[in-house]
Amino acid sequence: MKINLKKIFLSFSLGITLVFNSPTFAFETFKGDLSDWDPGVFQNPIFENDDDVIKVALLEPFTGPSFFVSRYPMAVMTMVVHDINSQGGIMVDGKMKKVVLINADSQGNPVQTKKEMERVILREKVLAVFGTSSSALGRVAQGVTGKHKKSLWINTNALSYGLMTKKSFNRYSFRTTADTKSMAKGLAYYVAKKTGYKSIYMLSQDYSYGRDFGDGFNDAMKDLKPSVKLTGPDYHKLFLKDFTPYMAKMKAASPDLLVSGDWTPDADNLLTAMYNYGLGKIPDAGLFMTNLAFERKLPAEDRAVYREGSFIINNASELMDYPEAQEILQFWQKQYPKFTGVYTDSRLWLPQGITLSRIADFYMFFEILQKAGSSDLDTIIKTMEGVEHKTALGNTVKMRICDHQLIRPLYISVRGRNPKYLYEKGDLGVVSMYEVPADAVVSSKPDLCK
Amino acid sequence: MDLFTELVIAQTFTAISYAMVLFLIASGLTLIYGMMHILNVAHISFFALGAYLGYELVERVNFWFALLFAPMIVALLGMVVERYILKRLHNLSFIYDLILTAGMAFFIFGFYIWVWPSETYAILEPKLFTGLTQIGEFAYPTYRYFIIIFGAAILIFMRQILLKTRIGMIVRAAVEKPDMVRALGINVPLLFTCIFGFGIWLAALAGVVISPITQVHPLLETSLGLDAFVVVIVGGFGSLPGSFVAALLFGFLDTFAVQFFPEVAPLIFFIAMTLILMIKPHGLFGKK
Repeated sequence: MKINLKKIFLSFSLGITLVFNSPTFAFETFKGDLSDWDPGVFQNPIFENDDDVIKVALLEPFTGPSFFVSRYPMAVMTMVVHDINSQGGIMVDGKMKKVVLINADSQGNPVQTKKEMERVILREKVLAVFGTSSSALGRVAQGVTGKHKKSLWINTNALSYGLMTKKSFNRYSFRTTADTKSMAKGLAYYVAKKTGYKSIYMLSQDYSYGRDFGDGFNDAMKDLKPSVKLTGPDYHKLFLKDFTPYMAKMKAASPDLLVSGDWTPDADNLLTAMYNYGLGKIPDAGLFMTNLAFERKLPAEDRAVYREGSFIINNASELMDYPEAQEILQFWQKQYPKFTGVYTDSRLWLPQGITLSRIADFYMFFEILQKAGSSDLDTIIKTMEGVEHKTALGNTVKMRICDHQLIRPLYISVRGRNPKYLYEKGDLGVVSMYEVPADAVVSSKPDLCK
Repeated sequence: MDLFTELVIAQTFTAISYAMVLFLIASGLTLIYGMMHILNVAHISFFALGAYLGYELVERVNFWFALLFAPMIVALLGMVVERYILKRLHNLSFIYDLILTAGMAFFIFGFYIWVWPSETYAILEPKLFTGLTQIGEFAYPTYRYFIIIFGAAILIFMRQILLKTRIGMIVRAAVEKPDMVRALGINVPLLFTCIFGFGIWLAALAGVVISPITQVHPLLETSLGLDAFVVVIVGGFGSLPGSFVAALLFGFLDTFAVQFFPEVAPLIFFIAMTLILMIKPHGLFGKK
């Protein structure tokens, strides 16, 4: 047989050319064209067949009394989807598929949550649902997903410890946020190792999340630093109108730190009550303990005294010292002036812990989906289980196989004057950050795993 | 002064001041029900609207201006609603009032979250009443004293108007014998519109007064509204003295439960309501 060297050479050259010059058939995190991204004018891609796209839903209270909560995850999700779609989509099932984002409006209501979950799972046939800002609603969403076994539930912000225990576990649910007990333990770890507080008052909301947090913190403090005097935990009803009765009690206990798992509007009202009751100098710690609307009205000196030294714990911090995190944060701030509609909300100016961690978590899912290369649920679940992943923020996390709980380091952000990033209109911000290692906060015992 | 005594005094003042706010809201509700037999489900939405409008006026002028004008504006709105919408249903079943006012509640909620779309709006206490007042060894927030005095003044004002003035006499007569009052040449529909406006004025006034403590947010009506309805039910529908006694009772229960029984504090309102209604199904001062 005569060997045609010329043909072999040409074929080889063509092969090399194709390999090195072909378009990239995979999206890369934060590498798309985001210059025209504005969450206020987000548009889904046009498609003919469901098989040509990846449908995902975001479950949040888009309407109802907690409507404002939906702005942060929606802004993040539009950024991630815009980034992916600007790169042509995700390589799944042998082709590039763009992402279609569907809103599932929980209205902050369990009955509506169930309806919306069933709508997006059964009618819209989404691959995954992301959410949500309430453990009670998270439990409903998780239950619906487990019942139908047709979509995944990616819980990025329902923190209640009880959601991922043996009793409530189902293999279609994953939780990316740290749970309440981990958060409480991380806070206790920081207080015990890095501060000299001797007397602490714990006050939290009276439901599963608040109780997990309050009990978790006090238990961890007793283990880590038994010499600290603990008052409480006290639990108040949700959306309490008047914290003054607790202020009298707090004054009597004279703690040098208040710890609370409260979120808005309770967190705001608790901090306002502290100030009005003359207890504003006591620093506070928690997950969502900020009260920007109130503090920016105070005279500058009062404001500094009132908030300096207070700290929060979260999955991320604006001072995370990874270049990836800083790049995303600076891009966001550069892009913020272009935001329109409800996204002009000045609180979106600085993405803080929970918003940053959502960026990491949403991207993580799509990266893992691409790694799985298939929209088959079993394949995705197997790929997610045990995955060790470098997040979009630069840190490393691991998805625990037994309960689908993401194991991640936590971040303490301490407030003070002259910060690197200013809060909207204020003069305070986060001045220092401390990374609590993941193994110091893992709270689930192995016997709780499925 | 020992710590325990100081605590008890502080909680007592807190209980009274909270009771005063509850009474302001509940009295408007019970007044409208007692005089006009309308169960105004939107009452608490007018309360929240008062708080939002109060915020706007505080931002633009000051707290005192807001305290004077925000309730007036909301009351006028309430009068328009009564005059042109609710009045048409006066002769129909109470179910129609209920459905209409529930619809109004949704509308008002939608309106204020559209106009004020952020999560929380803060109002500082007026400068005159900022900080703590020290009496001997006891220090307590000055604004709380203001709420107590202000609430008591409104209570006395209402009592005087209803019991000691000609207008009050006409109102009471119109409730008992509307046809007779009409026959005497008094415009009863206009009177009812004014009563409705006055009830709404009380709710909006409470909204402005409480806002430096609660701040203004979309969950305001949920957090206080339920308590106000409980006060009206326990006090007895339509009974002003009943509302006052129930407001005081719940103010004390709520406050002292926090101090001495923190585990049951979040439920104390409902435990007390259940027990009272088991013994007196029509409320403390209610009539069959």
